[in-house]
Amino acid sequence: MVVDTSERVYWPYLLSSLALAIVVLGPRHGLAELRRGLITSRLWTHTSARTDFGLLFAKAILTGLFRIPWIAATITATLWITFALERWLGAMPEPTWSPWAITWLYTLVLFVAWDLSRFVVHWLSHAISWLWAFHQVHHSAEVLNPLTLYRTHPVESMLYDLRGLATTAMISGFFLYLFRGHAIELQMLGINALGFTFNFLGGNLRHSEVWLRFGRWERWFLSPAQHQMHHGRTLSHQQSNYGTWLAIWDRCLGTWQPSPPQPIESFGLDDANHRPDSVMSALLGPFVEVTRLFVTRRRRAWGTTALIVGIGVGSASSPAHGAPPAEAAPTAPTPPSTTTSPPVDRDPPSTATPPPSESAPPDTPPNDPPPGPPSTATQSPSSNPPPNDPVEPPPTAPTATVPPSTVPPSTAPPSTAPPSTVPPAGVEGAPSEATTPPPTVRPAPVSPPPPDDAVDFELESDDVAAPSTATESAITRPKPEAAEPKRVDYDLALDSISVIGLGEQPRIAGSAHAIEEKELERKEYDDIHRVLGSVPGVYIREEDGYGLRPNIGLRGASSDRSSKVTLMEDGILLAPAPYSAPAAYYFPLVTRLVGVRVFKGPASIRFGPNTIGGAIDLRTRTIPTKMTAGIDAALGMRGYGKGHGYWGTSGKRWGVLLEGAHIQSNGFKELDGGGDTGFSKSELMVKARYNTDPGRRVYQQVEVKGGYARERSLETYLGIADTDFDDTPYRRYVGSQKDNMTWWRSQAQLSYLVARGSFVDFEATAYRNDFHRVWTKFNRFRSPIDIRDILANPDSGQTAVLYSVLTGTEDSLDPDQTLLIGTNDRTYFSQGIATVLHIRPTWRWLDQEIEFGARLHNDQIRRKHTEDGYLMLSRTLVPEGTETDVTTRNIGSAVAGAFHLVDTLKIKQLSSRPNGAEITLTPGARVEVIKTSFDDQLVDAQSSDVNTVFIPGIGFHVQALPWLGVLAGVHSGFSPVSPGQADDVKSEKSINYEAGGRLFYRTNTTATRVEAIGFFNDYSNLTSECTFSTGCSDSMINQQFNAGSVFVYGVEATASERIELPKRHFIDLGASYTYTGSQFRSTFTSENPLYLDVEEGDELPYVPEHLLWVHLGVGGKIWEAELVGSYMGAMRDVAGQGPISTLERVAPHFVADFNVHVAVTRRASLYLTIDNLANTAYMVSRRPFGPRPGMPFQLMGGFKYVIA
Amino acid sequence: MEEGSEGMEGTDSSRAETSSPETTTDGEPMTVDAGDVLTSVALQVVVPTMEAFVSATTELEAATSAHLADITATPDDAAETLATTQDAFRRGMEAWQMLEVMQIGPAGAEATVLAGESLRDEIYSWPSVSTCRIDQRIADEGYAADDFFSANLINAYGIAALEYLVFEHGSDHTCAPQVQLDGPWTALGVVEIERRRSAYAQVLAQELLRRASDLASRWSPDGGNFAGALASPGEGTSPYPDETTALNEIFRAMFYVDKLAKDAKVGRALGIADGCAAVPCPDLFESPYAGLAGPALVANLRGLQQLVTGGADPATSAGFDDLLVAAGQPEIAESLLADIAATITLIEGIGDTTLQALVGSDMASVQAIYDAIKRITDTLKGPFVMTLRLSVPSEGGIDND
Repeated sequence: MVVDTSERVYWPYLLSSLALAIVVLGPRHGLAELRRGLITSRLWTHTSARTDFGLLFAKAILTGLFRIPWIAATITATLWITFALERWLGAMPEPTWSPWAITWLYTLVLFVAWDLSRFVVHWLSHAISWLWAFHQVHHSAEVLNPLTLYRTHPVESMLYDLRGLATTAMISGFFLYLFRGHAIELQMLGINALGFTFNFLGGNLRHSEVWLRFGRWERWFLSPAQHQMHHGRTLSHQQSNYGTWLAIWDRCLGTWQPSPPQPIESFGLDDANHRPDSVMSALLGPFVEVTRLFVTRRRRAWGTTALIVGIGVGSASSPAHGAPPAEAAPTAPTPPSTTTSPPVDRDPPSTATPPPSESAPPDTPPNDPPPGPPSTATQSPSSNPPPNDPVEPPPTAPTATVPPSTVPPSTAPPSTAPPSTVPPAGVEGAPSEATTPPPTVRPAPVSPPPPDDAVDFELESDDVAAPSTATESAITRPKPEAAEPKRVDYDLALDSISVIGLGEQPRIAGSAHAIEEKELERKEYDDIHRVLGSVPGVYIREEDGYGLRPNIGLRGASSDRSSKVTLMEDGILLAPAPYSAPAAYYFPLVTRLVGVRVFKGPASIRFGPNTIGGAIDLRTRTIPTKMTAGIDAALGMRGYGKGHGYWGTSGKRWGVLLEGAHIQSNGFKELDGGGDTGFSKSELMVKARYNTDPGRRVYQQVEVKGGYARERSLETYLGIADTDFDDTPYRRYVGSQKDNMTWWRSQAQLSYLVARGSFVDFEATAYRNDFHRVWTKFNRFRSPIDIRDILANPDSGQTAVLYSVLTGTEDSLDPDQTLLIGTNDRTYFSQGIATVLHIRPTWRWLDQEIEFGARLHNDQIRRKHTEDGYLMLSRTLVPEGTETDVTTRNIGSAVAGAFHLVDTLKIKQLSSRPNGAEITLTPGARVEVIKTSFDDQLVDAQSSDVNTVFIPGIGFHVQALPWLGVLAGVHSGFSPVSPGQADDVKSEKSINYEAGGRLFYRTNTTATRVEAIGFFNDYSNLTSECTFSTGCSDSMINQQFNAGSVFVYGVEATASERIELPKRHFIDLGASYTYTGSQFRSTFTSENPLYLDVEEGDELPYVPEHLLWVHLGVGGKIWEAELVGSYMGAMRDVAGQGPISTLERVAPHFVADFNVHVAVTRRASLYLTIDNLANTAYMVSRRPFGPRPGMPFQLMGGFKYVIA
Repeated sequence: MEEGSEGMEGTDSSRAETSSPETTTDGEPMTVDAGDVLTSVALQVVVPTMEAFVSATTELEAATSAHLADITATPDDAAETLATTQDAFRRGMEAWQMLEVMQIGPAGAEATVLAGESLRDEIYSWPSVSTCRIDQRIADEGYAADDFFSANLINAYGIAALEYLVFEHGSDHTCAPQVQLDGPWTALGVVEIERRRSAYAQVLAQELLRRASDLASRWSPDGGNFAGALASPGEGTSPYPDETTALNEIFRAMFYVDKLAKDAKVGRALGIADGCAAVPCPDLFESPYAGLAGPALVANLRGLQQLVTGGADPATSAGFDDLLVAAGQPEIAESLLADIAATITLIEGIGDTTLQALVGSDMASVQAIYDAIKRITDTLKGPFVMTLRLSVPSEGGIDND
């Protein structure tokens, strides 16, 4: 053993440890310390030491038996991972890095991974009851010598070996794959060079009583003294410094403690599950305890086991003996505090501060009863008093600023909630509550004076006033007041992430917008197009008038089927197959959404794969903290009906939510000869949550979400001729009488969240969405004449004949006049695991939020497209009798690994003024590794491709004055290549710049908000994808085309004013405007009907130059009325420049909507909405096949009843 | 080809003296450029073919007028003039079928052809023919109205409607019962129906002559000189920005042989192309009343032949074959022209038997015609287009077979 370089007791390490002590402590003091702490017979003859030897001997036999198989297993697992990656992602090209760089990187990553994995297992060994039962063997050592390292139970040893196997295999397998076998670990004497170095630098003194401290370096590297401290008898010591080499893990978890000046005097456990001096007892004792745990507390054990098996992290239970897991016996409690309290350092910050005393902990967790005694070692969580009933927020609380669904009222009254947890009081100047103004001042946390010693790294503050970084993704678990119950729904807290629209102007780097529940409910929109109308920079190409299949583009990114936008529901990719076929044929019912968030600029690199335009996250209702239910029923013109209901409740450790919604309409289009043109759409959603005690320091939560949705819509791609549009804009030709789409979608999600205060949290979500759609619709005539040419020329030649057949005035008399009705049958799935880790360290004048996300995603689309011939005979479509033609049959799939790292740095206290300048910097990067495969089953051709892309970005925001913020950002835009494309098709890439300013000014009765951001997107290659909806023929469907270099530029501006009047009346005024210019930078010809013959300087199609949205709201205590107008400038149907020809022009239009709400009682309200108040007939698009109208005048009245 | 429209004839004759498309005087391959081909196609192929069609329609108009006068005077004894009309129709039909493969410029479809005005549809609307609409116009004498051509779709006039009127003399109409034409139709009586058929035909022939003359005038160097526009891309008011575009437009017109001649005219009846529910479908052949499906195919191929060679006389013309020779691929031109000639021989070999009749008795022979045409179109889509670096039109890119 002492000659094995892989062992820590390798003789040179022993010698080096001795030398280090002498070097660090000086010859005299060092030798004295060595004599005291290592070279003393007490340490080697103690009964505890004998147990060390006994266990070492016992395990040596096992080690000898398993060593070779263990090595073989590691190699096998490594190779398996390598080959699996090759199979999934394809072989990597020969590396271009230098061998030295690869070696150093590999060595470093392996070292860090080993250290991290050791830390995790060690921490879990303290946190989980049954693991602690085994780990006690190591902690029961009453004297420390280098052999104490081996004083571990065989079960624990095996666990560590498994960890080593898994870590080595994963890292080595990945590097072998990535660098094709060129990854060679830098070794010294056969082991990792860095590990060798650390072992050499005093590793053996960790288990000794040589009190060797590292001073300031302890913040980065754990000293022997810190580990000895970990072996101390006090709980606070045992629950600190879990790491081996690096201190960063402890600092992230808030368990780091500096070593005190004086050595720890007593090691071991007071109440171990075995006798410390008996090998046999040490071997059997843990088994006895685990059995007891299982028998006597099987419910908890089961839950813990389930968590560990299912999730792999965490448990809330505590052991019955010995030191309880960390969360069961917090050692650094904090006195209850309020939002105005300064953060309190949990740990003594300097050597001048006395070490924490077991009997007088410096702080108490806010969830623990303040007057009660501190936790004891034997206290279990179940002994904690049950939480009180939730307490309603004060009646005067501005409930609009704290929707009950986002912040539990009992735990986070709006007046005390940290600013970043307070959802916007209406976005972009649209405060959502008529009765009370939003909070005027964000609580300004007063930082403690920076410690003057080494420990100036704020680990965590458990008090309410813990300053959140207040960034767009800041997660701040609402903290209870001292007297408040401890029930906190962390998921709800997550949902309170606020992007913009804080009580004051957001101080974030990068543009982002949010529309929250209040605003959604007030407008009662069921069409996402109308919802997003207020967000500048969003371009919308409507299609059906109801928003069933939206076409959303951001900042010039193609709007076709929203395929260039990263669409998410609750943070999970929403499209049926986001990588293989990103067209969003599924879109949730807007009526059940409680928030819509739009990310543009650098903020979008958190979300992929599309970062060109940005991302849209649709938030669904969260599980309420108390019984909440609501119904919403409405009736309207043209058979419109809406039914929407939800019910949810929570217990101490669980929560559940059921929600269903249904919308239907007969449609506003008038089919020749009569008939329905409407739709029916239903959605069900269920959520259930199990969570640990929210008051505990480590909070865990498992949530499942299931959903089912279906739709039947008699929708068509067929528009009408311009001549008809002028006379009868809502006409629908009889040729589309069989058009009909049906789909169903199921979704399942399992998410696990673990968080430690507001300092660190980790969430993993496994998801699976299935989607199947069948759209039967008129595709074309058998004649080669394009349907759009027929609609453009309905009066002459062959096109006039075909037009007459389409409209039923002529019968089909030859095969060219046969209507081909396609049935596009597509089956999709989308599945994966998405993880995100947040760490929010605070360091003097710097707040940080580090977000690391990783996602492994797999999706697939199976297409089976067929066409059947129909004859128009006497205005009825009759089967022609020919065989069904299979036009497309293929499978596209994608496997993608995505990683992102975003660090939000908020530099505070740049001046002495309370509201002085503040800088927020958000550097980040995203990496996507995408493998696509395509199997064209019609021609039996397969292809695959691997694409790796690096997407960096950085945002910058300066709050120069309390009322003025300036922002700038740049990021890389990316949109992937779909499966099965030609070799010359490149992914869409751009460099996107933005810069602007935000102004916010408030008086007692007014609030003014202005924001203006300019953007410039420099595309090196813009791509377009052929879809039916753009008018492509079947043979071109799914084909992508390069469109070369393009400039897109513009300005987004918003302004709002809220005026408070006497008796709680108010006036809201708001406007947003977007100017967008675009220029192709090259001349080319494309087969995509949207582009065709493009010349340099041409503008993008379907990007309006001007977009304007205006808003006027007035209201009183129980009523509110709003008038909204939206103007969309002219759009091109095809790329071009100069005046737009009549047949390629989508004319500008202005539409006004109106709504009024009256609260009949506290729970019941009535509402009335009118869409298109002036009954303006306007064209929304010329795609897919010809002009199509927007919704005409539509009146709807409804009733809501909410129990909350 | 640098010259403009003026003096085009002169330069053409000088070329005839000095430049053989095949070889020079010393036996070396003649260098022919795209401009030469455009000029030759415009002046030696399209313009003369249009003049021939005008001549045929003139004759046809005269015949229908004569027949109308005859049948009006002696309803029971107009067979001779009818036969004359039918003969004139056959010549007119064959003349037009040559032009079917030359839908370049105004004759081409407005939506897809450069400078297209869809004039072809006004002259020949096949396969859009509505015999019911024609019968309705007979019944209501709508053909005599001043706004007949603007009030009716192309499926009620043009060569295809004329064929129905000249060759179909049954006593029944062809409308479905729900059209409710029985009463008015029966009330007319057989004699009046025949007279109206003749009168209707005469109106159509008159219009046909006017359309033909107009189209020819549009092309003529003495008229609209579209020939000059084709021959001089990038100049004046030419709709063609460059020679490549102009060549591609001719090439697009040649694809008529693929989508129409091969697929629609032969393939559908055989069930190879979509549209036939129960194979064979003899009703899907062209010219069901005159039985000219075979001769029409021959005329299409002769038109193609001329486009390839650039004119009827190889010695004076410059065509795609010369470009192939210049590109060092004479065998492609030889193979293509040989296949065209062989196919013409094959079709002419069936004699007086119509394709409608043949497909019922000897489907293999019709299949052989299809295969022969496919050899031609395969060459066009493959080595021909690749050598000359032309663009396959989107409608010609995919075979349904």
